[in-house]
Amino acid sequence: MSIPLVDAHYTTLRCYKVASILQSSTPVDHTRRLVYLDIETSPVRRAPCAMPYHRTPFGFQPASSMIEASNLHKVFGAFHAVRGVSLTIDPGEVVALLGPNGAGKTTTVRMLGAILRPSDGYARVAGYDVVEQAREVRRVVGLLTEFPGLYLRMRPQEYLCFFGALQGMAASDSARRAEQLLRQFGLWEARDKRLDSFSKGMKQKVALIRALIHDPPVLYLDEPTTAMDPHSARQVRDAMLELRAARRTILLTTHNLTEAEELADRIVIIRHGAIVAEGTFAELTRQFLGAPRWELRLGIPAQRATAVLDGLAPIERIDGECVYYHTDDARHVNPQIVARLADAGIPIIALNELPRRLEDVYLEIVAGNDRADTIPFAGRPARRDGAPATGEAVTLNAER
Amino acid sequence: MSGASAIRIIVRREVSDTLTDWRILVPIFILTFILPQLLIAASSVAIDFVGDRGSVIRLIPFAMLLVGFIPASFSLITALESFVGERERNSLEALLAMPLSDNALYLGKLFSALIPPLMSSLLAMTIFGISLRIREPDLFFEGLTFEYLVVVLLLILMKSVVMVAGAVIISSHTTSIRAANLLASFVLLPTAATIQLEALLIIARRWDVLWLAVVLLLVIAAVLTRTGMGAFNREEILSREHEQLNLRHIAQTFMTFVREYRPAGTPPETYAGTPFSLRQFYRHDLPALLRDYRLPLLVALLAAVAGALCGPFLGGFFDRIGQSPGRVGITPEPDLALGILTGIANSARLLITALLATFTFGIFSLMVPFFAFGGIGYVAGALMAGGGDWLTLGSNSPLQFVIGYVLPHGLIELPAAILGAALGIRIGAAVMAPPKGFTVGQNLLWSLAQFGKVWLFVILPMFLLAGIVQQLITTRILAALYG
Repeated sequence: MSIPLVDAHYTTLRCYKVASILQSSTPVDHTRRLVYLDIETSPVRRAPCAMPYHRTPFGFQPASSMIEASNLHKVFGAFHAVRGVSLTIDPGEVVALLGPNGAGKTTTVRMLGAILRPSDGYARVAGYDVVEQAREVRRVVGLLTEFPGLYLRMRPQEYLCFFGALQGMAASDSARRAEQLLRQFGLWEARDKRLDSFSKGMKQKVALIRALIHDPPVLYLDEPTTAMDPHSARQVRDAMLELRAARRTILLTTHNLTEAEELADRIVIIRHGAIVAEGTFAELTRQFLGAPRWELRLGIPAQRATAVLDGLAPIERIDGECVYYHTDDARHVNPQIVARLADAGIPIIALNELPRRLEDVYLEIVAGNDRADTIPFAGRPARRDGAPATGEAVTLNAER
Repeated sequence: MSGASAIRIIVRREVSDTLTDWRILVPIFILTFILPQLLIAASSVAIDFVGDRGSVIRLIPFAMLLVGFIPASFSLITALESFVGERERNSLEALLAMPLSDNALYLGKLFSALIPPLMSSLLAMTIFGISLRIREPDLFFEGLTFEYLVVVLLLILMKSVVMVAGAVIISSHTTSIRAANLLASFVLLPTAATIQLEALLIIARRWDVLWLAVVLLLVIAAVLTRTGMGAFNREEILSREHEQLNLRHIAQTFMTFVREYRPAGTPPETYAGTPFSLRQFYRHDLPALLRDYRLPLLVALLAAVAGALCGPFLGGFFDRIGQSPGRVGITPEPDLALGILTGIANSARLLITALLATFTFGIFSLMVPFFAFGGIGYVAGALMAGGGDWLTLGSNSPLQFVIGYVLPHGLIELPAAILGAALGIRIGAAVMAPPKGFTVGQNLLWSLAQFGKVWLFVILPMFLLAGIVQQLITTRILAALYG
């Protein structure tokens, strides 16, 4: 599935500019510059971008990040919904925003979508300030809301064209784009039916298409696969992967941790309005679950082999013919273990790294924060293996 | 995309949505096509039944007003659910995420709630007129004049705008359709009262007063629309999800505004939190407040001038003012307790009008200087009519009346009344257009806090002083002037 530009003029312009970018800039810059090119050449009439490019001695260079939020706060009367959220998302990056219900995810997304005004702090999206240039922000953002919330007496195409028109698209462009997306998501056959006859999953797809109708460079997707059957959910996930490939920046809010694990480049966990952990899945796993766990299945009762393993890796437990241990340095430790077992004549049936799921990490973090709520916080939480939590790539902001 | 095209897109969608809903279409059809026929039939039956053709004919214009108003009243229902309905159906956030201005969204909703019922209303009136012409030609010319048609059209239009503007405000400030329907009585009851008043005026053939009603409704419609536009923003609509009636927080915010003076729009969380100081209030806060209240002060002053100019006509309407000239020349005995009581009573009146101003967009506060100066204007006018002259002193002289009865204590009392009126007008305006950085609630709390401070530390002392001066000095001056 691709997300082609709908207007030939723009396509031509885009091809010309792509060629010039590829010729003139370094490969590192290609991704970013091409994303901004999409903004420039999109058929949606947009106001001149205020900040996507920085003027440098070498000409205009794209801004470093697509979404940049610093110390965002949101207060509703006496309720402090978001407390100092800082976030940077690069062009083409998919970031999953996770957290329990009421953690402040939706409020954060609404602030980044220029629907709510931050009480403090600032944010820029595609170079536009969410307060000063709210309308421009709304133009470059596609928002999939938590509930589809469709106008049920309308038909899908007229519904999508309505939102296309509100985004400033010409009627013919939005009709073409709507048709293309309806076909892509398998809804073209149902184009003449009213939306009130659609199933939950179909409605969710229409809502997703509504977010994509103006081909935005930034997407905020709140529970995109809720209520969908596995096939439809797969379709939507595939679409998101293709959007990522097309260098769209996606902020994904979900409770489906498998989906987040599959799609997100980076994971941000938010709780009580503050970011409590941020990093890639691997970084978070290492941070909160410790070193990778290995399962060694032997041809004899494992108890008899413990002496051989002694000193190589800390054994977590022994279960029949299986030994479970964890190590950070599998590249060196595992061959040594295998060599020692071979020298001792102990048959090895299998050696596997135990899969670790985002759910475990998430629960560890959330449970860790529950503990931090009741125990006075004294620095970063300890890792499961007892080592202090460190790591440059991973940031951890425990709540005070 | 311009605001106008955004409004057009929203209106087109909403109107087509309305016109595809048979639950709305059926009643509109009945009211547009069948109700006029029923009323015409009822008129013929009534003439036969009562036997007094003249009495029934006087009701024909009212029947036309009814025929026009009932379909137009549908606008209230569609307007009431404009925002809160979308919110309940979870479709509002997608709309709020569009690159539209708040005003475009608000006006789009306002027009889309207004257009189908108004069209239906005009159609119903046309059908009524044509049917009446065909079925009862002798009734047609008797009750319906061109002026009446224009007035009735304008009345229906203005009433619809008032209802819709009010209902859209309710809709954007409530969290459920049920709450919106309950609050709709604030729109329905005054509208019902207006209809009754209009019925009386139509039966009495008072087109002149009906024109005044049109103008009044126009002003109310403009104020309500302005209020709706000022109070409507995405922020408040979405924030309402988290809204709870937190009296403690309200009290804290109020006290923050009481303790320190900052211009309206300064968020309460940025206040320094210094304790209230009377010295600070008189030396810095009060002058700053008076500077910021220039506009309401000017409005209050204009009301005073208007009162003085209209004064000569007021006596005919209000007995108390009408009897005033007869009391000129009477010199009361000084009574300090009465003076203090007068001061307290005036302060209490001002307090009550300011509180009522909250619900009347400041109109009650506007009446304070209007009637205060209106009374003076009336007495002066009556004295002039009795041969008095502004340039000479004497028992008939308006100049002597002002020097004796007004100036001594009025120099203190009238500025206090104007200041109080300005504070009240600001309270009334608080719900119309909150400044950037304030919600409607914060703006109201801010203006109430300013009123509270100034009333307690400036107006009350001034009125008490004026009461004392009135008893101790005015009475002596009166004795010297009038004997």
